Amino acid sequence: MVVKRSTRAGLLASAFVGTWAFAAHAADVPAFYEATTLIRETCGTCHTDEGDGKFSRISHMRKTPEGWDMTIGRMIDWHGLKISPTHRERIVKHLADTQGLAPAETAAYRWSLERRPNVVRPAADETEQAMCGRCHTLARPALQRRDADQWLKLVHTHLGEFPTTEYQAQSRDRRWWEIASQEMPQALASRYGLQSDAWDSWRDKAINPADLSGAWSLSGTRPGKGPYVGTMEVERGAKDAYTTRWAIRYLRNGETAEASGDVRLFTGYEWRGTSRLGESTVREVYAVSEDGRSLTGRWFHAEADELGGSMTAVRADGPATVLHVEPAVIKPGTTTRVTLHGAGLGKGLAFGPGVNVANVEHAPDGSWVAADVTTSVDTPAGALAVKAGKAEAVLAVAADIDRATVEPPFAIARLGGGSTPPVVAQFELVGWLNGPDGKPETDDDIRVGSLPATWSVDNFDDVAKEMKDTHFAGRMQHNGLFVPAATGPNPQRPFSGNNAGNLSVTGTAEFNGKPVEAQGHLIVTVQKWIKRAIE
Amino acid sequence: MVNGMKRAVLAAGVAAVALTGAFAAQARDILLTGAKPNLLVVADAKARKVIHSWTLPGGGSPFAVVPSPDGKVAYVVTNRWEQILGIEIDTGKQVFQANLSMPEKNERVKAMLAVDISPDGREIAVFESPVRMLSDHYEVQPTRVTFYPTNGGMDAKPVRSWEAPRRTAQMMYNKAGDKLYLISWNVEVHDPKTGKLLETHALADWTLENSTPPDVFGVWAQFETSGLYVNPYFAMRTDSAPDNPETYRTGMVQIDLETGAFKTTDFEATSGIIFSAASNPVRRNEAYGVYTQLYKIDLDKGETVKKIDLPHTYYTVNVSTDGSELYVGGTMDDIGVYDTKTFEKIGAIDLPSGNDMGTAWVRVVQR
Ligand code: HEC
Repeated sequence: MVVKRSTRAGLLASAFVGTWAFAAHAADVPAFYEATTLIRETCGTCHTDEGDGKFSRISHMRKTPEGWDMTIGRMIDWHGLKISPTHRERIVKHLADTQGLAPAETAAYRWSLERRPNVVRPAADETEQAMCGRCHTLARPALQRRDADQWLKLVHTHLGEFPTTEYQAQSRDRRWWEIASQEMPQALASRYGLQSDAWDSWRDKAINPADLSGAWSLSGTRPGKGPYVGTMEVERGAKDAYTTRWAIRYLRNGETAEASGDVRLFTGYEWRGTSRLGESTVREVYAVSEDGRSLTGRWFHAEADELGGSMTAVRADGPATVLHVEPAVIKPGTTTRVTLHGAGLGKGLAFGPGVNVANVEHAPDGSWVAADVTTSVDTPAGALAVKAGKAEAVLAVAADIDRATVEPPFAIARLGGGSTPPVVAQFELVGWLNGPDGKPETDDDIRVGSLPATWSVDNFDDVAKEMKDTHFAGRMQHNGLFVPAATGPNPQRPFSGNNAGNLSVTGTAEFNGKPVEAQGHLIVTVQKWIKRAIE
Repeated sequence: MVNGMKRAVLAAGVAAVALTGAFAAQARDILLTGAKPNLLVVADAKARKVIHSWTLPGGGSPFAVVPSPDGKVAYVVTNRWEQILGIEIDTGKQVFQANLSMPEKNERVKAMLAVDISPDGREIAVFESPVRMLSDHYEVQPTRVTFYPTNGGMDAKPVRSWEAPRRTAQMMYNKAGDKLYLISWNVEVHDPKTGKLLETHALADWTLENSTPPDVFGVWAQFETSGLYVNPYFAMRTDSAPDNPETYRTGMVQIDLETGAFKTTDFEATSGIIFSAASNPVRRNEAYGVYTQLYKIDLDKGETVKKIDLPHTYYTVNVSTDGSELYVGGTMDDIGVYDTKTFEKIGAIDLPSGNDMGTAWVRVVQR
């Protein structure tokens, strides 16, 4: 990394102290009565004790660990709450475990908790988008549950604290307050009400989760570096507290990295870890499966959450699972060494009719199996259904890659300046086969994964050209990482504007001696001061 | 006295305008604005010079600046929009303070953008957005207009208050002082003594054919030299395709604070953003708009007659009493001075030590 990150790290840390701090403390989980006592003592000065371990406001909603932590942060910032980090952790843990969201309730919004940059967001209700989505993502309401009376109170909090809201564009064109206070609470309650079957059937598991200790097999993709595989040892400390040692190897260049970390489990499945990965501190936001045998999510740099990798892990002792196939695509009429990475691998390797398999080898721990795979010139282009025992995977066969896409197709990077470092944008070139129907962008297209590419930027349109955006907005690096410039005002630009820019991004790769190319779109815009755990 | 005469002159209408020039020799234009950190800045317009920078009590930064009709006191909305402070322009002495919040009702009250002083200088009308802050929840209260007596001293208490439409962004008295205009979705005219709704002029509810409702949003008061309130509006034609540039219309809302005449004039297919506008006290058909560009608009003909690029963005534009100069400000630390006829830049007033105006109003008074 070329950019300084220290201040950003500070902001991130202060925006989300509690949940991450757990890892460092690994303190005992408070017993139920202890947490209630703590809440009575800490929060009871303002929140009425309703008896039965219930408190006004607090006991009438459900939130994610991040959501609870943000709320306590607000109590500190707005209402002068004094609370030690340890007590904050205990209360967040208790509330997330007893008033959390079930896995099914967070599934559509993992991208937010995982802080995936530039995700294409799910289609949203138009009113909700205009009323709420104008200032923050719709993950904010979607990742909590409450009834209409509590949604209404939240609406009062909004305008009470931010009275200019009703004056802003897309508010002043309507009776914002009337809609917010009379229509939205009911609409949100019917979408995200307090009671749910998902939570009713999960709540016991939330406080009695599976033991995660043991050996795991890992795989994922770190944009800019490509796919990686690895292993992890998980050791149990106190209940819901673990330490980890893990190691990964990037398949593209063989680079390796080792890590060790601390993990806290919330709500029976929300894995929140902090690891030292090589030289960096990374955060882990994973969702553990109900049976405790697999997990998925994303890790990211503590000081720059736009940089990180996807993660899938399964128990090393099986059942047989393929996490990654390397390479993702082979040519007809060739012999290629193909390796399947995962768990429980070794037996029963088959690539389908007409494909020859020789020199099979596998890791003693079952974490990979490799073979020389020979296709004939007649092997049709498409997806081979690969079997490794009971595990299934896909290997693409093609002489040419049909098309490529830039991921993300649209990205936002932010200028640095003052004490705020820039927010970078990382691009990837992804290859595709058109699939059986021969048509691009249909459901049967086969994704062949990330391709090593070279990168360039250009002005997106005539305005950008006239404003010389490529010159001012920042620099594209060789691995698809765009690093924005400092913000400005820049006297060399018209109206002493800042260094914002509107750029097209081109990634070029070679496959089978032929160039594959695709374009993306990058907006370089102003700084953002506050970074939140749920944006 | 001079000021009293000036007002009489304005009241006498356009025919008397020539006289205003005659007074210019004695009465000079003084600019009043705010800057960070919590400064009231007083500048001599023609001398292009800041003459005072008074530090206000409190940790905020000023937004609205309302001069008393005699030009001696500036009432400044500052400190998170929760206080109005009256400061003697010549001495910097604080002579007035209204704390808008009401601790006895647990009410935090903010002055929301709109504030004006009655032409007799006796009352300040402020548009308020209150919220009750209870132990574990907030309760947003209806917005209201509240009146503070200017002789209320350092702990001024409101004398009247009534509910007024939410999102009111600007408010001004007419010249006679018997009407208070509130610019919200529509324009409401209240009797400032009784609160009676006297008239409503439709904006959001307008019935103009083949047009969306207009977006009217101005937060800078700069009508004092002309007595003609102007503010840009943006609307779309509904009978024309979205890819046709003619679909997007910019116009000007006009309220004559003397006669009460209300008018909207479409003057161009939107060619740029205009943050705020002011009109010329001498050539009253001439209005100016500002943001990254300076616009001259002929309100009679309904057209943009001149447009130049500005060196950076400005939020405010005000006009000298004699109609010859424009003062653009509200951002960064300089007030640009432009000739109203040629748009030539004829000067600049730099604020001391680079104090950012941070959206503060720029007012013109005669002293
Ligand atoms: C000094 C008073 C005070 C203390 C102490 C306090 N709160 Fe609050 N709390 C408030 C107020 C005021 C509100 C309403 C405004 C808001 O939502 O911020 C509120 C609102 C809330 C809400 C509703 C937020 C929402 O999303 O709508 C929750 C949950 C909450 N508090 C939790 C807590 C917890 C947990 C504690 C103790 C760790 C605590 N509060 C301590 C004053 C307090």
